[in-house]
Amino acid sequence: MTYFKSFQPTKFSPLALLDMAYIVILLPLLLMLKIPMLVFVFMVLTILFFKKTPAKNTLIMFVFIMGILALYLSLYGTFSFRGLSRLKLFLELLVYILIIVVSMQRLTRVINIYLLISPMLFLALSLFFYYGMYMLIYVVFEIFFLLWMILAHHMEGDVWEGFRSGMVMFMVSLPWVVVLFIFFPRISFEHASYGFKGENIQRMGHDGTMHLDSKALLVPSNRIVMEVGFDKDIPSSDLLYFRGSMLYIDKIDHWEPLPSYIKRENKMYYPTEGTNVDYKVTLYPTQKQWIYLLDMPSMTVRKSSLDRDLISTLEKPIKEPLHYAASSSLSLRFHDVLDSYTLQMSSAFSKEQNPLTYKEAQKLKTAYLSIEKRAKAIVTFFQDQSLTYSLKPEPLDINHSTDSFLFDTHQGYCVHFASSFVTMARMAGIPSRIVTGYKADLENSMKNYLAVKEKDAHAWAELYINEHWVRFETTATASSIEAQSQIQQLKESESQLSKSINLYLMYAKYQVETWILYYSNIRQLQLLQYAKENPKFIVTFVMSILALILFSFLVIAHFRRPKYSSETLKLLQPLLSALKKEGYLRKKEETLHQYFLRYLNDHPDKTAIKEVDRCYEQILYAGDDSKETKKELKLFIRKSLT
Amino acid sequence: MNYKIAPEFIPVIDAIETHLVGKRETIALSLATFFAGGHLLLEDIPGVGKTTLAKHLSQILGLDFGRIQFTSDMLPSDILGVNYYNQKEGSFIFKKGPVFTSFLLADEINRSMPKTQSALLQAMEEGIINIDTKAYTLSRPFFVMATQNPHEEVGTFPLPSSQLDRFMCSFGIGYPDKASEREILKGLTQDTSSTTAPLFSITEIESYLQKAAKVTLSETLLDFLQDIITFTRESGLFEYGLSTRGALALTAMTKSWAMLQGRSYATADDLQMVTGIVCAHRLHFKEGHTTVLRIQHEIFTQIHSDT
Amino acid sequence: MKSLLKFIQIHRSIKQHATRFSLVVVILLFGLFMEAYMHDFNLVYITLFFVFSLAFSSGPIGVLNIGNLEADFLRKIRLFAHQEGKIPISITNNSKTTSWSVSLHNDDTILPLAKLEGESSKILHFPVTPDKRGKFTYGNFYFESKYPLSTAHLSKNIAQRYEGFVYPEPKGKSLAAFLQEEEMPYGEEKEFDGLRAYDGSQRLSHIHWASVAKGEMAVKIFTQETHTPKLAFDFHHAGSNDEARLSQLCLWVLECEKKHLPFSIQMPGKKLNSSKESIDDILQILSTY
Repeated sequence: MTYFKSFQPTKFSPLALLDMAYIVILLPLLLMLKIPMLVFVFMVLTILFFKKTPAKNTLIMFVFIMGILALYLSLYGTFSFRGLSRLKLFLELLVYILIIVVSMQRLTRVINIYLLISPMLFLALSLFFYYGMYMLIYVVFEIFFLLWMILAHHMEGDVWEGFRSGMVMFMVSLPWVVVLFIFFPRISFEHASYGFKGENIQRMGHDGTMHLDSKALLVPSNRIVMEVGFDKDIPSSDLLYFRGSMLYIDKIDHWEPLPSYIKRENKMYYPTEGTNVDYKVTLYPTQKQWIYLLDMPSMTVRKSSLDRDLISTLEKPIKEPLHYAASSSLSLRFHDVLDSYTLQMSSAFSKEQNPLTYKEAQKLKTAYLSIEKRAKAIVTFFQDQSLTYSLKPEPLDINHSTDSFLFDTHQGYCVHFASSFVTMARMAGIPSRIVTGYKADLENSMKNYLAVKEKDAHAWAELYINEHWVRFETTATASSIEAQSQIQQLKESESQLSKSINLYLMYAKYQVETWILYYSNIRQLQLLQYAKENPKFIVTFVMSILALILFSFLVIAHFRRPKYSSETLKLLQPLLSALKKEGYLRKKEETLHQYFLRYLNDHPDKTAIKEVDRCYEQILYAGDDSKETKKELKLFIRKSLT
Repeated sequence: MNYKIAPEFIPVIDAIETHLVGKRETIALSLATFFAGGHLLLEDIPGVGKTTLAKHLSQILGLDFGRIQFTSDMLPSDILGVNYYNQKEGSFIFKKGPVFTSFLLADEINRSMPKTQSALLQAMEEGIINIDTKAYTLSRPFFVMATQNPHEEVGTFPLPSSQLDRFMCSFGIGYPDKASEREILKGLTQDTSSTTAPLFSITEIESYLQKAAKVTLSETLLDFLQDIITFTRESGLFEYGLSTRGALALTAMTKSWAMLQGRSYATADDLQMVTGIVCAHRLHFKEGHTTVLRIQHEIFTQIHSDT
Repeated sequence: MKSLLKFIQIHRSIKQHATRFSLVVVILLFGLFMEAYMHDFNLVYITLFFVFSLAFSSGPIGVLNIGNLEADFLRKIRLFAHQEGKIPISITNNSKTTSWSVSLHNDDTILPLAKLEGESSKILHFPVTPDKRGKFTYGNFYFESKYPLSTAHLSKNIAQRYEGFVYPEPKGKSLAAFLQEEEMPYGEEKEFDGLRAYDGSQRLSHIHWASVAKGEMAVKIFTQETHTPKLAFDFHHAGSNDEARLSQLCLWVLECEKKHLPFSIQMPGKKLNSSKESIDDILQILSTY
């Protein structure tokens, strides 16, 4: 705290304090202003910067006209009376009008009540436009900042004192806010979702087709696709397959799903095998329609449709973060009765394209009558091919991709494995298809939280065996995994620490989002339910609230503590209050030395106080700032207290 | 008040006290004024020992003693000296006045005309006197102890405040306490006419003067000092506040008082001790009488210090 | 527990009133509530709860800010009718923390106190213009503050009242004019004692014309003057009515005090003497006549 001592009291005029409040409050709103309005704001700022005297009426009139012009240009086209019924447009209009009015008032340099309350209005309006983790942090900061400025205004513009008092008030209200937030009764309305601008993603790990050539889906990006919170523990890593899309048609250089005009028999067989898990997903904007569910989805997610391949899609591409609760049966397989069309599409292959593979497939087909055994034989065949899993394989002969992969290059990654496996299975007479999606990595998980990244994009095969679709992890047939280039490995080992920090941050962010930003009536009920079931939880909860109050109290005590003109005087405080308790009140005109002498007069045996007096004199007047004297002073203060 | 005079000065005070019984503090403060390089104005009724104090102080310090009894018909030349024409040599010769001494007792200074008063006060301030375009330097050290009777109103010329400012301190001696007075009445004290042997050499005096000037004032004390100065100017209690010269006098006295206690640094106690006597003749309460004690009380009950 | 009791005690001594900012807070709370409830905006909820709890906590903080202040009238001052006088009030902050943004009020005057650090005191000079002489009490003082958020007006009454006297307005002829008129014998001119500067109060016959010719205005003074008989003022000759007489006497008393001149006043029925009564006592008698 000695650092702060070097601060001279910094005093600001009320207008300067108000300006600072406006700057902080308007910052997020500037991001949503249309260009003409931005130009207007810039113009007003320039005038304010150069003009230090109250503006004349003509200038204010000019600013008013410019403001109206900017407003007209900003809303040109979107503006109609019908459009006003759209809340967002209406709010935008409000913001613009408020900016113009505030600018005009500010130019007069007269602070009136409207100028004083407008920052709060701007804050309330900006809440309509932004929603998210960063806004949460910023809003809390804004509230503190406004409080700080108001207090500094009451403290003659002394910002440092304002900060101290601001901290005290903030900490007094923090526990209230937390308690109110948790217990305030909510109703289960939908989260409104206007205004949020999602990122524009061009390339995704999963995009509904699967290329085998250089366009192949290899996006080793660390961007988070989705975050999953499991209600209980995270399942083991071999069960974390998130289905994306289902590909049937081999287009030589890529695979495609079934065309949308095809109407298949709409019959659903919900999976029943395997253990059931419930989880909640936050899916970030993908600009695609798919939502990802764990194999095998056991129910339809709200607002989405689940087709008979257990692929879940929305009507519109996802442009803002999507939250959904889902439930799946963790299983390799699910029961399905194939209609003729699906059977046809999942059995199609071209003999000419991959003659070598066809030959091998025919061999297996004749050797094994049982489909099950035949499938196993294909796996064994793949394993015998000494295939290498490599993220940088040699290019395949794209016209004979399976042959090229199995008998020539022997190198590839998930898409090549899946594509070749499905091709061979079909040739061997087993209906099969490719599933693309994500296979989550447990490295990106913490407790019940799991982050799925772009680089987790994956492709695998499903074979139709005994009226069941069965998942085959095709890459598992690789006999060796080629090490990625050495430099990359080095990089990874270096960033091991930052990686784990990153994971922690992600986890924290996820927790904040689930428990603060998306806290709702349901969560509230869940919490209550949980508390009912676990009396222990109530204790923990109360304890943490108490801990929060204690923390607030400590911060308050820290910022409310009186300031002393010197460190020495601060050291003396315990002794002084002890003497006060003994009934020795320091008279107004008494110096400390006289005060001590008066005390010593009545208590001549207290030699320690005599020494304190001597040390104090040495430090305060003789300019002795050596550590020994200070230590001595501390020692004698302690002695005099006992 | 709490102070402890350093051993080397105790004999001085003891020696003078034999002539001025029960006035140790007054003696010590006079000594401090001398070592602070200032001049002293004693304001008291006649017969309390002003002259005795001056006489013995000068003797103890081993300084030349000069005395001027001010009267209303006195002229500046009676103090400073005159140029007179020496017919034998055919030139003007300067005859030094009584001011050319080291220790000057200016008795009843308020009985002379302002012109005469200011001649002395100018000499006090500058240490130099100008007569007929020629400058004469006064001896060093030069110490003036002036006395005046405050209760005599008519036929006196009260010193204007600009002149008063030139005195570093002003205080009275006061009646002796009962015990001391009894001693005096018994005739146990020494005869006032007896002389005292000097206790200091001139080099020693010089070194004490320098020592007093070198006493350090800590930042905390300077803050306190400035608070006092601001208070005299802004509290509205006084007709006008302490001048910069007054403030300098306050610092010099504080230092000197610290030196008298054998310290090389000054404390808030030193400052408290001397504030009243430095300010009493410089400040005037808007209402009622100005006394050393009242000034002391008003200032130190109203300034909140961290000392 | 002890501090809680003390807080309750302080709290009782303070009155709180709403300000227009209280209304702003209420409207804001309502608006935020609507915004939050309609759309289940947790951010808005958080803002709402912050605004609510800050407004709520500003109460006790404001109370602590103002509640530990004590006022005391330092001393009696000389007040004169129809003249502005400044009553010194010592304000003490008994808490350890600084009090901010407090002002001292009376029925018609406001005096800003601004900042008062913990365990310190400050002296304010409260201006007052009494309209008539006599016994004077002045009260109804209170502290007021809008700290911390301007959402409430806190005021704390000061029980102490200033009690003193208002002296008659000093008005009338100056002492010099009185002396001129009365031709008061300034002693006997027996032994020439010297010269002094002319200040308007001396008789014309005493002017030392030789010095006037040199450009200095001096008067002769004589040793006998030291035995000047005391100035004697007479109530009945001081003016045309009682008020004018009192004002006149008051003026003379003050002038005499300044010049350290002893005087006496012949009041109806009693005689006041400056060597027996203090100036303040004499003024008080004039005040309550």
